[in-house]
Amino acid sequence: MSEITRYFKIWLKMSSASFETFFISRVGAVLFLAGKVIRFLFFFVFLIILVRQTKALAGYDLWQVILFYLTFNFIDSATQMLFREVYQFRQKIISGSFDLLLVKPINTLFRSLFGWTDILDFITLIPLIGMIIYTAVRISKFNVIGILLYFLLLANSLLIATSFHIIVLGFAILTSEIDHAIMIYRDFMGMGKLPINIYAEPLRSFVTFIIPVGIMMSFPVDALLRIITVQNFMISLGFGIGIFTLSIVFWRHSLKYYTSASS
Amino acid sequence: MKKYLCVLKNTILEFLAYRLNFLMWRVRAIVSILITYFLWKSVFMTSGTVLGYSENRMLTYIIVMITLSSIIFSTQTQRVASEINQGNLSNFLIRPINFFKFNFAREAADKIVNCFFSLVETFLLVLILKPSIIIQTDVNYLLLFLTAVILSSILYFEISMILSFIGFWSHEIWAPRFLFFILVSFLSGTYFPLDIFPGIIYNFLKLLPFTYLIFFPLKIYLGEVNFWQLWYGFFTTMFWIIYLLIFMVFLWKKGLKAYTSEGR
Repeated sequence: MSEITRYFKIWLKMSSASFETFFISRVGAVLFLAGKVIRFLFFFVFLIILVRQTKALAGYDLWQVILFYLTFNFIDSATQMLFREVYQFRQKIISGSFDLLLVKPINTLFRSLFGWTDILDFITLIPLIGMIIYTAVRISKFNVIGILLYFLLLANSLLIATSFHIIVLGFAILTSEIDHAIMIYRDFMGMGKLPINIYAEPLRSFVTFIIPVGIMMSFPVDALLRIITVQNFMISLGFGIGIFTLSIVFWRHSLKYYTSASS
Repeated sequence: MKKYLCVLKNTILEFLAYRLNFLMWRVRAIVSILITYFLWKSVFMTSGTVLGYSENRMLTYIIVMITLSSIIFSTQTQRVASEINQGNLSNFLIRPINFFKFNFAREAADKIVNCFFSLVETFLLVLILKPSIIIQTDVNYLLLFLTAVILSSILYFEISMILSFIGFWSHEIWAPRFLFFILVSFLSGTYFPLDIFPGIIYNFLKLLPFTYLIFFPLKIYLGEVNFWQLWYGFFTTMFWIIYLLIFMVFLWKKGLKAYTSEGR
């Protein structure tokens, strides 16, 4: 327990340091934030126009589609807020400055994942939570179990997202050519902006269980709307634990191949 | 001319130097097409016409739009901002080359690579997905479409260069570009065709340069422009190209006076 507290304190320190850097370039921060908000709003308006025209999208009504979109944005923003450091990791490998992380008396994986907390994504999370609550209330098709399962599957989604970021870190050690790996992850996750049922088979199964956008983005909302099957729920949890274990094994394996080049 | 062809060739080789990176970049482009395609396919499952567009017109619009976006919005000019900020611009200033021609050659190389791969990918996806799309066969429309694409590439090059010149006065080079790209994506018609807007907004958008980046070439491809619309479209595009060219050169000259080669 004391170890968890110690790492939480370290995370708070690193986060406060990263927050402070945003005040160095205030104009840039405001522009980035404005860009993120406008991008969110553009797609939001686009969805409303689209679903109003068609009355329903893959069987879901407007508010349900909005809930999928908001949940996607929550998971995406939370992931980016926590793991922004991953985007800078490749440079550390190429320059050899990863050595400096290895000799520090804290877990290297922890430092590589959580070294930079993005305040801009943190700011967007707060109104997102409010919008999710409002939308869920508007739908009013859920019960306590649905809410609990929603939170559980959201946590599972974050665990899967963490695993993918660990895998990307591992790839960055093994090969210096992986510049787009994290962006590909994000592009695939972008498929979860909308209910996964809009995709035709076999793409639907592929993006549900192989990539697994469906498990991460659609299943939590399915649970809240009480349309998730027990089988899918179990698969979701099993996948989360499985991929996390695999990512840790992969990270440990890739560490053995770090050559400290350029240092 | 020969030296700029060398720049063009070297830039293409740069793309191919990191092959896995390159492959992944193309995977991203394919994923982008798939997401948009299936979204619209799903939309048309319940309605025959959406936003005034039939299924084949809309699918044609989005498939050609994604292909066009990856050609027109692909740019190397963001490097200029970093070169200014890091002082590396000095390396170019002392060389016997024209800075704009040099960058245009880099830009052309980027577009050649994107054009080739985008067309191949789109062709393969059309072959696999078999969407009901409109294949334009009228040579006149195709020639006009090609002309509009070349002009919109020049227009975007100028806009992007102007954005990079912010580097002369500020270190905040990525944030304005990020914000600007989001606005341009929307205003150029990558979310949906611009003519779904009410008349007054659509008429206003037609005055801006962004409409002529994606939407105007696409309407030509679809064969949905009459003589006057063509004339108006090409005239406005040329107006913006000339205006932005003058503005770009003006900023360049002003910027050089402010440039301190900081970082060298």
